[in-house]
Amino acid sequence: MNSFTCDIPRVLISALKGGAGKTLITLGLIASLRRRGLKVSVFKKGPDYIDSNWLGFAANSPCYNLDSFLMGQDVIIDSFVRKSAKTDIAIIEGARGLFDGVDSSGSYSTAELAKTLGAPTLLIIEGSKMSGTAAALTRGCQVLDPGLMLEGVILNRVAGSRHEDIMKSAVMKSCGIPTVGSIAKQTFKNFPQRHLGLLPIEEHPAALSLIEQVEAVISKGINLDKIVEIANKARKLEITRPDLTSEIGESFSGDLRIGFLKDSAFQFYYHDNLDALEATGASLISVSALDDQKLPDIHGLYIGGGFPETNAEALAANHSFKASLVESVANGLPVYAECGGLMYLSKKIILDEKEFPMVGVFPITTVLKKKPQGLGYTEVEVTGKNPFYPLGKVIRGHEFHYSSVELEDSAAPVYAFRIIRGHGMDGVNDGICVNNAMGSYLHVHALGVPYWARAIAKRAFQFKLSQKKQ
Amino acid sequence: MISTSIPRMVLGALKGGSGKTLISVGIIAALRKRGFKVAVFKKGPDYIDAGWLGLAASTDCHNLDSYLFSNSDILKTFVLKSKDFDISIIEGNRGVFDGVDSVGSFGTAELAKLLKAPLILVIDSTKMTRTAAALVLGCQSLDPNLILKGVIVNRVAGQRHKRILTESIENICSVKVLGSIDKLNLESFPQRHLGLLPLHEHPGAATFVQQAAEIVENNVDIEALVQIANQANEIRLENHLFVPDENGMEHTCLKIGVLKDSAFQFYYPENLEALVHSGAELIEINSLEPKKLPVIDALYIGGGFPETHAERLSDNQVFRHSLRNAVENGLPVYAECGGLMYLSRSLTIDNNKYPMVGIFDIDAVLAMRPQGHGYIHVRTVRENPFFRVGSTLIGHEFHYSFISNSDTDSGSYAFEVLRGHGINGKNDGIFRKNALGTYVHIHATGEPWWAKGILNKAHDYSLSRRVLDFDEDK
Repeated sequence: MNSFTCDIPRVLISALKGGAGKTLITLGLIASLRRRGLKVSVFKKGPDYIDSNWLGFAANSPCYNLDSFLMGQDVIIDSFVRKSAKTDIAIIEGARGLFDGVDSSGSYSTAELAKTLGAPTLLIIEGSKMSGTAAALTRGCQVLDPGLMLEGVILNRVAGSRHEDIMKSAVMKSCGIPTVGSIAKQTFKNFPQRHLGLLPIEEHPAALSLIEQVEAVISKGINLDKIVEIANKARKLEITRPDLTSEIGESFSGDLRIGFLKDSAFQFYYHDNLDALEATGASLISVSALDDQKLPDIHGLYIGGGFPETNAEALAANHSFKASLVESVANGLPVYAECGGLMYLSKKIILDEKEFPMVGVFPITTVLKKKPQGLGYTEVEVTGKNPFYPLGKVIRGHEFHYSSVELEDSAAPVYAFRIIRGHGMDGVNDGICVNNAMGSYLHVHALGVPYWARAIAKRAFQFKLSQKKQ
Repeated sequence: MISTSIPRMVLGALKGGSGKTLISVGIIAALRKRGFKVAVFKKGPDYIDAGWLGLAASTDCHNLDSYLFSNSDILKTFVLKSKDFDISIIEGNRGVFDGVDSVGSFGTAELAKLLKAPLILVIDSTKMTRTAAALVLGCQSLDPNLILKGVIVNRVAGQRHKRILTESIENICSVKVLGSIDKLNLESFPQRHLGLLPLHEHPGAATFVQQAAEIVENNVDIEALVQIANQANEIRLENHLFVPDENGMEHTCLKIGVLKDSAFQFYYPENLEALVHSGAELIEINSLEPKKLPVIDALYIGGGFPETHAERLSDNQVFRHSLRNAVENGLPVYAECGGLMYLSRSLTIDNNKYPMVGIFDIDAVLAMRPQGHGYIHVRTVRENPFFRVGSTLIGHEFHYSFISNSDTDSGSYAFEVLRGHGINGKNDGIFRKNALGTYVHIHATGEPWWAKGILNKAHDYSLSRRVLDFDEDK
């Protein structure tokens, strides 16, 4: 048993809706804190890779996702306490509206997370075309959940000092909380957005200068002393429970190598997932589907999501790599592919009526659509035989894909999952299997599915043994 | 005692751009299809939304604004202008608690309470679910005297979103969600500057009103809205407020021209009424038609979008020259905003310089951002054709143009700016001969002397012209 008391100062950045400027303000805050010499740990509410990568980049330390749909509250606290240990301050970025959850009682919301973490909360109010009404919005959050430590407001897209003064004093008068930041309306050049959020950092040529640009703007607008003071109001967290990582069980000693595709096409990996794979004793080998000639000598492969569609031509053109992957799967290489990984292992991607031949492990074609085909939390039951998951298990994750799947005419696919919630490959099934390769739209979080990493390592270990026999 | 129990409601939102006008237009049109005679009002200084509401209601839309006029004038306007109608729809502006200060003075919530009108809150639910309930709760909690009777959620993304929004709001706030409108792509409803495109420039305005009506009828519980409107309490006013203005009709048979075309269209109905009430016969004039200015005793040029018609205005030399000649001969001209731009020497847009009428020795330039936006106060500091020295005026301004050579040498300014921007932050009301141009939009209800000033000048001019004609006849 380990016992921890966590009194790391912390603050959660929330908003009333998505698109209010949370990520940019959080990035600026992180960079400003670091400039003060503080060591910052960063967390992101909800399933998300892109914002997390930006936050981690700004903090110069991995960003961890916390989400009570994906993992239990005890797991969240445990993760937070461990990962914020030895840092000076923890910054948690919320998701969407503060009280938005999966249902009308706000289950799994940012507010719920703030309370779980005992984190003082700052509310970003997007002030465009509004003035005194900002006080009504803040007041509503206070009244809806008095248990929330709503300690300050950050005004965004403010049009001048008169606008700022009106909102600030309205919030103070009606809600009794300070405005700790006021950011003027502006456009950050070169901060392009895609789908629902920012462009992935990997695709961004000048990420560093961008962070500097954001810091320059945000640091001028926020009262950093006040925010640090608020962060110090955080409630003490105490945990007395075994180290969760020990639940992973036996470690696979010896030289077990698990590859994962990491390049500008594939980049959606939770740090917790990679950590979990390493905790099995395996060493992780970073592989590029764009630059490498062939697959290195590995015993298992993890392909996360990403944007194969924006790299379709380059992926299609790397024939030797694709061929080596096909051969390895035929030989029994365990491959765990999520979303973009599934698309990559399909026969082809169709994009604006153009076809791009992919690896072709699965008898499917993926077609890019204009609108998301699946978006949100997913829950599946393991109903089909597959290389990784025990039958009968229920797995939670999330999906977010613009592609849909078309089956080959002759295909008789084997699916591991039956959908309980979400869309998956066709609204009913997900987790297509061929040999020891499995592909699904489900993004799994290792803290929510603690046996996931071990299942991959175990399958890899078996593959390694079978190779030796040969 | 004069009273009204007309059913009424205010449509408010949490911020501008939430879809109030589209929904208001739809509600008005849907009510008319059900046989209601609908009176329409718009909170705040605004011409464009008011134009759309008026079109949907097939009657003039009247502005109500407690910054520009007194509470008794607001009540009086409301009572008089909703007489003979079945229901009144008042569209708020911006966020319900937005006013000129941090306590929402002169805001929509204040107006709703003054009019004893139930409020229907329109919420833009983009990228938000249950948090919408916090927002409604905040409005209830901030001002319990507000009669918040219903919510319409806008830009909803599908059934699940609608269900969560509705359940959250109804459970947490005990207020009904009376409508849920999906995210639309109404390309026929284009926006310019802060709001909708003026309807004069809109080729399919009637079609759009139809579309808005359909959207509302399919997604909003109109019967429930009517029931809520019916619950409005009686408004009583003292009789003396309705004593007719004895000062009216000093002059008769004076012809006041009004530029009314797709370039100039920002006229409060009350302003035109005030001119008529003071004895004017209004002559509508189109500045885009290649004709001479007709014979008139004074000219009123309101705001509009001369910038989108610069080439046509500039090409119409016949009209421009006859207007300039008339001003040289002493024609009184009162020009606001777009009118001021038109009377300047030139208007520059994207480095293209268009010659204008050239009454004033100034040049207007269109900028990318508003140069003045909001309420404006001015004091009359110099003898001028229309206003008494020492008088103060309150109005509003909203202009993307600025005057590139606005130093005091370029003309005489009647006004000193006390609040707002005006022509150069200090001065406004440039005048020469009997023409005056200003960025201030005046509302006649708030400035009852305004019409009289124009009429007096028109009277003098008509006399001098008769003398002149007489001389020429000889």
